[in-house]
Amino acid sequence: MIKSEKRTLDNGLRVLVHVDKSTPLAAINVLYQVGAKNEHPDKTGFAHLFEHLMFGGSKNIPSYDTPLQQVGGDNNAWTNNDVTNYYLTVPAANLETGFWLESDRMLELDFSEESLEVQRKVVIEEFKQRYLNQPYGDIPLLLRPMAYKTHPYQWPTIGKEIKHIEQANLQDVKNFFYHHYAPNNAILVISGNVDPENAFQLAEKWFGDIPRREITNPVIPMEPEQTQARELSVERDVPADLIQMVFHIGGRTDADFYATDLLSDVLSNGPSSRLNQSLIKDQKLFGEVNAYISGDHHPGLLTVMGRLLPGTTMEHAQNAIWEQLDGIRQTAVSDYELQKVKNKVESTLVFSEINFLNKAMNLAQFEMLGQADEINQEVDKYRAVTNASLLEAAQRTFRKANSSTLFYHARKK
Amino acid sequence: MPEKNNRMSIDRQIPPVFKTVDSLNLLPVEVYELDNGIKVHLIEAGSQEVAKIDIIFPAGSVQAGKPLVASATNTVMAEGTTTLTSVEISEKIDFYGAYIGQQTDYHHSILTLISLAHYLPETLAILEDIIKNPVFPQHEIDNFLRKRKQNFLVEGEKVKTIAMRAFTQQLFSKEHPYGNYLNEEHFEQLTREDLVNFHKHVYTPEHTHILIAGQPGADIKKLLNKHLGQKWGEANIPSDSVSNFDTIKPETIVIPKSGAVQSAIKIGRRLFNKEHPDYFDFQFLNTVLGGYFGSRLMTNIREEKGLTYGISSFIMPYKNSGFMVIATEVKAENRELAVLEIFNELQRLRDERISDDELNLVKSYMTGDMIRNFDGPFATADNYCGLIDLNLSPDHFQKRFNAILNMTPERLMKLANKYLQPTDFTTVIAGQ
Repeated sequence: MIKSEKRTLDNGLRVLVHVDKSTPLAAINVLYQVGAKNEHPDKTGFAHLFEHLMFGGSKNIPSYDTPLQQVGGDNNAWTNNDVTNYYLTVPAANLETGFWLESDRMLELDFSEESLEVQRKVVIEEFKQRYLNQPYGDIPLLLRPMAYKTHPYQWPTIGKEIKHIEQANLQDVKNFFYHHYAPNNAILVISGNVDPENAFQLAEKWFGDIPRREITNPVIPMEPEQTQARELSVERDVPADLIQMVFHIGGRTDADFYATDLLSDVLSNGPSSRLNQSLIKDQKLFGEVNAYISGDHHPGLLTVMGRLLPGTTMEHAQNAIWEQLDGIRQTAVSDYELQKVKNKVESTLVFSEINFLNKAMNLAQFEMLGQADEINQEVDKYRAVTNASLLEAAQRTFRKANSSTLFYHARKK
Repeated sequence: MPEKNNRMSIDRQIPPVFKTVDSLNLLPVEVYELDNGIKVHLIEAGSQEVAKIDIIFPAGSVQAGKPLVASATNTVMAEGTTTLTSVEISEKIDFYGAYIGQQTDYHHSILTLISLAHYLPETLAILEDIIKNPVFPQHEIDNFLRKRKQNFLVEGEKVKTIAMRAFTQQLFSKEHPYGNYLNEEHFEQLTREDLVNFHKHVYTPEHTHILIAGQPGADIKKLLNKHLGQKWGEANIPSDSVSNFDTIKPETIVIPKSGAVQSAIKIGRRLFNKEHPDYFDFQFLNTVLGGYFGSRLMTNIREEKGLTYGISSFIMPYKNSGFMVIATEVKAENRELAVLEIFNELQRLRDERISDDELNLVKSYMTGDMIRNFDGPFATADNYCGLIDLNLSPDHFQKRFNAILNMTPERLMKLANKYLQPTDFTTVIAGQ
């Protein structure tokens, strides 16, 4: 059970406080409701580049990191397709320093050409390091545009191509800030060894006078239903062939989210899962297999991947995976197997309630999707999944016409 | 309508007052022995009814003496016992929502169980069976080797791995485990006998420790004694002492990789273990150089010049030796500049006194970081695990905390001149 208290400031900022007295620390998490899906198709990678610029100094504070480190704090941030999330932790006595820093960069960034110039270079190196210079690193760049023809999920958070990052200019930066970074587009969560009344007062003191801003989001085009199987073959300098398939599923708040999540668990959560036992252990076709869902806010993807062992052909690999998917589509899972994956989810949820920073991030997510308190209904929602609803999810998902398959061939040396 | 203006006026240019961190409160560790002499270290704390149990065996790659034997034994142990098949073990563990994890380093192998407290009677019984009665089926060994070899090959395509393997080989030789000496042929040379023998002589109560963190419940002592408190096996543990390494001739090694769009750089030197008198203070020096986001290297190479996504330096202490290394991946055409700037930063540390502002900043960062690193039973256990068979007591951490508070500019310069001489450094560059 994760208890939280919520108040909304006059400028629209939602503030949540969760008390955890078992830690000497406190966390501040600020979630902005903007991600890569809000980018223009010709200016992709911008939400993430912008995240880097948020550390380049704000209106009244030239450096973000130094004052935080001076009070024993630490921080980081991440961007995905839906949100940009900033977080910091400090010894609880120094909580106010966090408020001071976070509120000033919500108020106004120090828009500087130098900072943009450096962070463009840094992000381009990040693009190369993570997507171009790793074996299999370019898979998201290949698969997303196959699965999505209309929806902006067709590009990864890093962006479609390096060129888009090179072209980002200071006017883009300012526009992005004033259209997305605003108290009425953010959720502030404070957790850890804090007194709620004090935390709400500090929120009012530091965030209360930041003006509400008009949020302009272009309408996001929804992805039309896929009607034909899609395939792509590439050849790269990697040591082993790999096959990756993606299937369209619903969004995070859709009713069938829980059944679909458990469906991926039956396939590959834990050593006893079906893909592990059948494809690795029994048939010895793969060195690694995995299945997981994206958890995106808009309709997302279920991914199934496998890295082939020497001697396994692509065709054999593809057929063997489909045999598993057909199996779960044709025959309902047993009560035992369903209970097993539910138990696993339940213990994972218990483990996720241990860390105070983790809890702050999760509360912010749930508040954005509906309300924070719903975090406590997750277990019941998973428990409510039946064999029949899992079968339905499998039948809806595992259809050839709903699939995009990437054949990633190792170049013969 | 009356104007609503009850807000305090604030000056955003003035930072709020803050407190410097001046003490570290460590969770207490209770140490006791099972009937057979196994030492148990118990850190009982936390809000959730969950426990993490690490069984630490003196079964590392140094004791094994032959590549792959230690990690294969530790992994394949969980793939079938005299009473349970591999499938039955994974079905049960998954059904209880538990996790079994395996880890092998140079001097230990660790079998980890994470379990909801109320399932511990069941999950511990399975763990006991895995430890005492594994049968090492040949097809499971083959399966381990296939997977492990593929991972080894995939890793070997990464420029950072290519550079790191060459770096440790240069420091510790290709003949010693510390030198990352695994190669492709070793996958053909492992036999079932290797595993059976290693298990029989090393996975016994002798020199074994158990580390428990979380809320395992009131019965934990009884439960542990029931499952792991009796004598078993025929202990005959190979020595894990490591003889002195030859003096190395530092050099620059370049390993080209066609098609790479970045170069991985590793620059470092051999160093000492955690018991060395300079260990704490060197950690401070390392933090200033490249151990946090505001470090000299991050500021220069990333935030000022934009040459990389990240650069860091870190210390790797082993039981009988250790090293420090500066690691980064940079745009190919910038690699000479990056190497030059790294050596410039070493020189600045040798020649220039650190300012009081920077010294205090790093003190604050490091003390805060220690509090974060010791927050809660699981984080504390992870740190404590690294001390377990050294001649160090838990007040090691208190000493480390005090060493941070007592650091001076003079001491840092002295250390930099002792340990950061360019003639002692090996440089490895892999990639474009």
